[in-house]
Amino acid sequence: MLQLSPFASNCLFFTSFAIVTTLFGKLLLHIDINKRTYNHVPGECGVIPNLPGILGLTTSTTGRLYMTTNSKDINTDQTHLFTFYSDNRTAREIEIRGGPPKWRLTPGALSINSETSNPNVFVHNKRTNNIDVFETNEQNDAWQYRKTFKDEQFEGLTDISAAGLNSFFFVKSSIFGTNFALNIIERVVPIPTGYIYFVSGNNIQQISRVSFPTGIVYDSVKKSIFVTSSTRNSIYRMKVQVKNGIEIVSSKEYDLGCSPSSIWKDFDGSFLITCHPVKFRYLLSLFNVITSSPSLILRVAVPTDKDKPLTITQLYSNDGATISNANVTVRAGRSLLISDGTKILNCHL
Amino acid sequence: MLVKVVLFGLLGVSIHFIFNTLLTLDINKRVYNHRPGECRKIEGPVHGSEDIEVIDKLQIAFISSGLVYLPNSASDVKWKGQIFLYDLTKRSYKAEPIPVLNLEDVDGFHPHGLSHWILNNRTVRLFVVVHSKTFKHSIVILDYNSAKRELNHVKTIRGEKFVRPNDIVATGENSFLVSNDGGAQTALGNVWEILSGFYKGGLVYYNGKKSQFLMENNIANGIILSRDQKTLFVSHINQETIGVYTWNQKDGEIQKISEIETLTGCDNFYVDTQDHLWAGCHPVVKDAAGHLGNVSDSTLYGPSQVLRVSFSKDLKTAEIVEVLADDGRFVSASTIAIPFDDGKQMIVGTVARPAIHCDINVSLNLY
Repeated sequence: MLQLSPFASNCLFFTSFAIVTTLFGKLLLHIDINKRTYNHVPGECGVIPNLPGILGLTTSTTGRLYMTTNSKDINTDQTHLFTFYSDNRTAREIEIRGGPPKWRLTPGALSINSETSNPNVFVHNKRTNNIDVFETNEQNDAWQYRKTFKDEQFEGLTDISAAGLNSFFFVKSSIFGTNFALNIIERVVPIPTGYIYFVSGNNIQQISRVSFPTGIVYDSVKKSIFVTSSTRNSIYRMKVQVKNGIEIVSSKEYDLGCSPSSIWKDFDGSFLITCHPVKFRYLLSLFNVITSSPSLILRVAVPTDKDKPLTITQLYSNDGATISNANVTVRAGRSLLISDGTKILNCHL
Repeated sequence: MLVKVVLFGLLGVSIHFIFNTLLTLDINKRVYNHRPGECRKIEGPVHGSEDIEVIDKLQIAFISSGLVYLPNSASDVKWKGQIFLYDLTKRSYKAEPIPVLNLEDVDGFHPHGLSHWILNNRTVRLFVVVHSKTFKHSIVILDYNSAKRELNHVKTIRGEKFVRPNDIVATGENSFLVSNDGGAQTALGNVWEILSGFYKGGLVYYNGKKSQFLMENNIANGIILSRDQKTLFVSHINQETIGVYTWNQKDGEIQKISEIETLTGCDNFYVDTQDHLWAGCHPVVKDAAGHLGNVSDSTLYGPSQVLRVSFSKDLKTAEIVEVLADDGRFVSASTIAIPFDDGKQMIVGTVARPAIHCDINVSLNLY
């Protein structure tokens, strides 16, 4: 038995006590115990009837909006693909043509590459955990099946961003995707348990580890990927370059001040980001202790100059009564669409 | 053994104190900018627009400017205290200083909170909280001469109960309620008062002859009465709450109804025609403190926030809409916000910077 002197044991105790107290204090600040939301709308808002919530979405360079929605039937986990028409706020389900025998699509995250006249859409198939690629035809709402990317790493995929006809980036939020308790720890403790991958043809490459990434956007003009980290309340800008495979040339982290849950790139290069402004209410809602949690929509402009700060504008804020835990947002024409997974709120900008 | 207990007790108190300080300073908060419409700065008041008082029937607003607050010394005060007049019917974006006649101490006139009362002969009487350059406090009563556009001194009231007056609300021709926002008379004392939690502020009622404390050992910043004069709203700014009290003028008594947590430092209030409470707030204390510690430094600014608080019928709960938020580069450390033109426009005042005039083009009812 190691016998410490009283002085040494006192030092050890008080040092440990100080460390534990500091960590606990940081945790309390981290979960936003002194924050709240104040309601704010950019214009008239209303819920779009007959449409369940959005799971994922992507927009082509011509402005065509495609989205994955949950099922209206709460007893099934089948999801659906729609084209959204912002002029009359209606949606039409997409018809899938082709595809291998006995293949069925349960769409999740998706991203479009608009390099050709018939853009290609990469869709995470939640049934098979593969990435299916479709060729779109904007003359009608029909997609032609083209190919499938298969890899075991696609399980637990959170978001995807197309980089070319045969390449894309994707993020996985966590190691413990299916273990609820451990997943909660990953959402709160800022350790880099999430992954950023790049897929090109048959090659899959892990390019970075980030703390609980929730969204990814590849900007081909800036040759950068933008990744939101829920746990670190931040957005990363990573310049990428193709050498022997792809590599990160430089990386910069910007503080958002709230917990981002999704990211969408607008045509002017700015991003619309959904956030959890009060983390502890979000966690309580995950545990079903409370029924709603605040939502926040920000427009974020990441400067080209590394030394300049973000320009952030608040577009929408709600205490949870109207829309709770908003997890997807997009601008469609003069409309801001916000979804919490069960309904879509439409606000006039 | 006893020594150990005492030491652990002190350790616990220290940890509690440090953590409370961090929460008080809002170190993990930030502001996301948005405006309700087009906003422009109002020319005229350069060094502050701390309180604004709107006279509904005349469609004018008085703006107090040149506030002196916890000065280090009189020689630091290089600006003049003034009251400006702004015409709400024109979009002039220009406020004019109006003369204040027959003051006892012209150099020591640095106005803070404002309130008004309409006399029987239709004269507008203005009640002003005034600090001198050496931070002596008084309540000055002025009558407004609308024909000559000037203010005439009527009376100056001093009293030991006006410990550190901030805002005022008139309850009659010669009676008013005054808030004391603390007890310390120096900046350092104020910091200690805030961090220790031993507040020395409160609420004073002056009935025309004498003063009485209605609230003591508390902190009260902005105060206002509801339009029916029955409900008093008090900003407990460092506790980041709004206190709601019944006001019984006959007995000179208040009774607490509720306390609304805003989690932002709301300053002065305005009650609109639909009984919504409007407040100018300081959402991030550390930045506001940095700005207010050296108001002459234009590189320092504090975040601004305008909230509209809608109370339930029993006044126990409230819904809050954020009308404006700014990180301070456009409007710095907002203190008061007043809607007018049927809620289509508003003016926002600040502690030590120009006021702004905004259009309100967004819905405040659908969210």
